[in-house]
Amino acid sequence: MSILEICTLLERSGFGTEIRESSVLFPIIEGIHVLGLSLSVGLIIVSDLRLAGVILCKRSASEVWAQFFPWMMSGFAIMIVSGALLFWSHALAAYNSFAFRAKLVLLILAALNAAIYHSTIYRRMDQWDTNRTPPLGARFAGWVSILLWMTIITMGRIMAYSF
Amino acid sequence: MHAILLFCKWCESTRLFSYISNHEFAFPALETIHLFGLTLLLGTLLLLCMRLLGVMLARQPVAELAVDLAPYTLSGLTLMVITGVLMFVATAVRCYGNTSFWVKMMFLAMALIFHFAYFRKLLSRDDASISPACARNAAFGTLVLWFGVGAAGRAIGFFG
Repeated sequence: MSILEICTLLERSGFGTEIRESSVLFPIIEGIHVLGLSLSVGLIIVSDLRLAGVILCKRSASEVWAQFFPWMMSGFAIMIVSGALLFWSHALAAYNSFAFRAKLVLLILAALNAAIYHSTIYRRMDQWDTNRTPPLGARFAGWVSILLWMTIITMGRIMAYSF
Repeated sequence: MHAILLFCKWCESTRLFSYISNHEFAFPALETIHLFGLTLLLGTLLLLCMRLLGVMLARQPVAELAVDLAPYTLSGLTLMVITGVLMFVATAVRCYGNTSFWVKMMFLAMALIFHFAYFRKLLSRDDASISPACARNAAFGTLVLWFGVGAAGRAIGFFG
């Protein structure tokens, strides 16, 4: 089965149709997705700013990270669940949307950026944990992440116009 | 109310209105920047509330966290107000007839008063002088008011 066929099936499914055509369900799920930006991307940006050596520098990077991690993950859980439901209801429209495809690619790039940071500079964190200014690689990863997430928000907003 | 409707009609006679209406990219761009502002404003406020509720960064004094985050809260608010005003000008008469818009403005007025008259002052105090009940109320008030603004704002596009 091709991706196009899967998307068609999803959008035309009873559940997908119910969300799409409900005058309450769709706005509520989309509202949760938008307000969920605060817990997911909001916290990401603050922790990226710590990595970039801009704020919370009086606290060690590892302390900030340990405190933020579980909340960021709950934020992402909210975004993934609400995003999946929104996708389900408009799978075909999303499939045909350039912005949606770009958003997926950017999400993969953000994950890659995090993975590279975690497998390199993060492993040596004990060497720079309490530094006011983290190493260049960490600052770079922080700014790249902020930039990527702003683009992801932009693509998300644009794709809604094709629904 | 009549004066407000006249004001809304005047908004739609301005060059700003024509500019935003005649450029297809303008409104989506404003909405996107509005979302950047939301992420910063609600993200940092959420963080401060979680600190007040004692669920994160408990070892960091409230005032220290507040000083670090304040520029981002204010930048978020500034972005939202500027783009919000521009989007209002572009849809003023529609906003006038939209109940969700008025609910949002009421939440916004209450949130701004609460924030500048009370919340910011509380954040500048010593941890020891903030009682747990006080911290809880402040966090609860901030979350309800600001997320109320957000929810009502989202409703503008969906409901009347």
